[in-house]
Amino acid sequence: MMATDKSARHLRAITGLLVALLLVSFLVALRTGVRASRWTDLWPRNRAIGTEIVYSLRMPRVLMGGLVGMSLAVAGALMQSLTRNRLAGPSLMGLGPGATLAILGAMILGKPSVPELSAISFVGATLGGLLVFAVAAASPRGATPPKLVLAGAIVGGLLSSITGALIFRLQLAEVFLYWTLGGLGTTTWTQIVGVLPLMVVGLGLSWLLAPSLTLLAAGEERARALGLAAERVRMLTMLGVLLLAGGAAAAAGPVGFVGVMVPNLCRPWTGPSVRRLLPICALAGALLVATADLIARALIGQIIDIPLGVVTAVLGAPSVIWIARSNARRLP
Amino acid sequence: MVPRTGILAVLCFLVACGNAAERARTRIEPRPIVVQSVGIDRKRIAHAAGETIISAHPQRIAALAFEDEVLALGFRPCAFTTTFGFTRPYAASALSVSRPITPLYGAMEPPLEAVLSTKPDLILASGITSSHVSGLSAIAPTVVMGESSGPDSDKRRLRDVAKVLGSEVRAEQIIADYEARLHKARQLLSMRFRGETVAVLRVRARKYNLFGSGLTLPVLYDDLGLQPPALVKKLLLDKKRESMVLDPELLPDLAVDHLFVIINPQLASDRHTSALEEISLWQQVPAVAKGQVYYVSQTNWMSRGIIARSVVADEVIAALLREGRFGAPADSPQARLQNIAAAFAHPTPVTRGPSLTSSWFPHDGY
Repeated sequence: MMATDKSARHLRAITGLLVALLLVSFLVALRTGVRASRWTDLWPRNRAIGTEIVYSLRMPRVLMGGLVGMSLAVAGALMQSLTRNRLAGPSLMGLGPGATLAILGAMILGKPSVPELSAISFVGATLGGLLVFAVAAASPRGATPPKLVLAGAIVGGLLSSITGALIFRLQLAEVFLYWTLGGLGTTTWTQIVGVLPLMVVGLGLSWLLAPSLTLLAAGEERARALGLAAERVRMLTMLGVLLLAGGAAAAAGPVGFVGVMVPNLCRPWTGPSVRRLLPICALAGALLVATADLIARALIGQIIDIPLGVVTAVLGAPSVIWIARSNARRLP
Repeated sequence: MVPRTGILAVLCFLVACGNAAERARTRIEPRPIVVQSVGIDRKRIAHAAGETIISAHPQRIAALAFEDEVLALGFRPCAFTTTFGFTRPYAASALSVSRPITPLYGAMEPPLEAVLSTKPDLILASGITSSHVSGLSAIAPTVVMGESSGPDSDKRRLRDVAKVLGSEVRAEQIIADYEARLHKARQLLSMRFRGETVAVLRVRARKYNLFGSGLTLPVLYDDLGLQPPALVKKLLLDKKRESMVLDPELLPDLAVDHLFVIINPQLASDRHTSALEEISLWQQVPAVAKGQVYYVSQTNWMSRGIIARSVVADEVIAALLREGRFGAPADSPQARLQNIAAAFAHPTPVTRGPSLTSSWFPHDGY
């Protein structure tokens, strides 16, 4: 009992700290740009150009960074619980490659608008995910977690090589470079309105599924004995991941490593409860991507021009190596 | 654990450095072209990759670079390099019987078998490594052209190719003709656009580039003598920079009367310009507010060569004089989106002014 109280206090402190850091990073991001800003520019009634810059350029970008980070981190946490593999992430299940291929196809066939692009990305991610499920389920003992991971790697590799072949054949390297690196450079309010529904539904769904996922992670036999419909939970979790990862990909292109890194960094504070893990993951993911974008943005035009995806990869790759080395790969 | 990771990082760094050093060693430094006659029908060319003896009157030229200049001098190359799968639209009909060669992915070097199949008796190349020169030389005498920079680089390129092909007189005629037409265009523009500023913005997937002068775009300020806005002067021309990423936050400082927006036909550029349209600061840029935004295609504007330069100049003149597809002012987001479609439908300008392109392809409808 004492221990639970202590860990609950601990969790509250961490949550408070993350909220405070997130607010600070938002405020710093709103004031940072090639144009110097004053605190008074943040006052919405102000008629200055500075205020217009804050509300029409910086605010959507900062908010989108937060939303993308939140979605990717929660999607990663869901994937890791679902596959019971700490190195799982949205890109592992054919979702990222599926979305990328669909976006490329749409760009070849036409000139999609932003809402169309989120829809296309979502459809691509769904097809990628379904293909992974189909491949895993076709094996003798069905779609077990390790088979899902394996099928994800196979299908992901296949889809990525088709994407690569198309880029090569049609010489789209220059155009596609920016999609394959990811970024929030041209975020507008319309884009936020476009992807927000996907993300809100995805986050809500994950919150509802969390207790079932905690049970599943403890062992499928036990979960079934307690009356849990494991297959249905898996399908709904996949849907949640699709909504979150598809929305994030439509908004920012592929932003790597967030989904793998954040849940692993958060889990030591929250323990096995998925419902405890998700809010912390959401906050930490938002903080990570918002800060990474701030770094990318502060460097653009000042020192070098680097995309957001590169910043998250530079931060993410070492931590994933660290996770792989320091932990057992399976969840308890 | 840390030392092992550290060693790995150091190894990666060394490998990366090694590759860069390797490339730097084999990349050829430019050198001026020097021609010397050898007998009646042969000549020796000293170029960036050494000396090569070629036929005095080459018939089948594989223009793996500088195809614009080869065309301008009145030759039809048997092969040319396509950049990102695109043939320069203004040269498409002239190159229709030539073989397009796609450079090997990443290395940007021509595949030897494709070059061999065109049976060239002269290969013009540029920006390749010495190891590749030996491969090309086994197919046909290969001359490596040097890239040059600065506003006069297109003339230098033309003169270099003319030396190799033995058409120096024609090159001087072309340059004199270009200067004469420019002179007329300058007079016309300076009367009608005194004090009005002009700038070039390129819309890319997730960013916007603002252009100064130099290598890629010497037409506006150097050739036609148009006025840059203060922002372009301060951040680019005074610093001799070719281009910069334009942070949308700088839009309020972009006090420009006429704006050319370069769009990529492969890219859903209208999607990215629609992101611009949403920004109220974009609507306040004088050129946008006055309907003086002109969409132009990257395949024309980012190509190098004297013909490309003429095409761009014609497009600028047509836009500023409101001719052809630039007839209606782009004074609403809808009108601007329609203009983007027009930029792809009419890749080459139609102008009643002193056309700079008409002399190149008189039968192509200019």
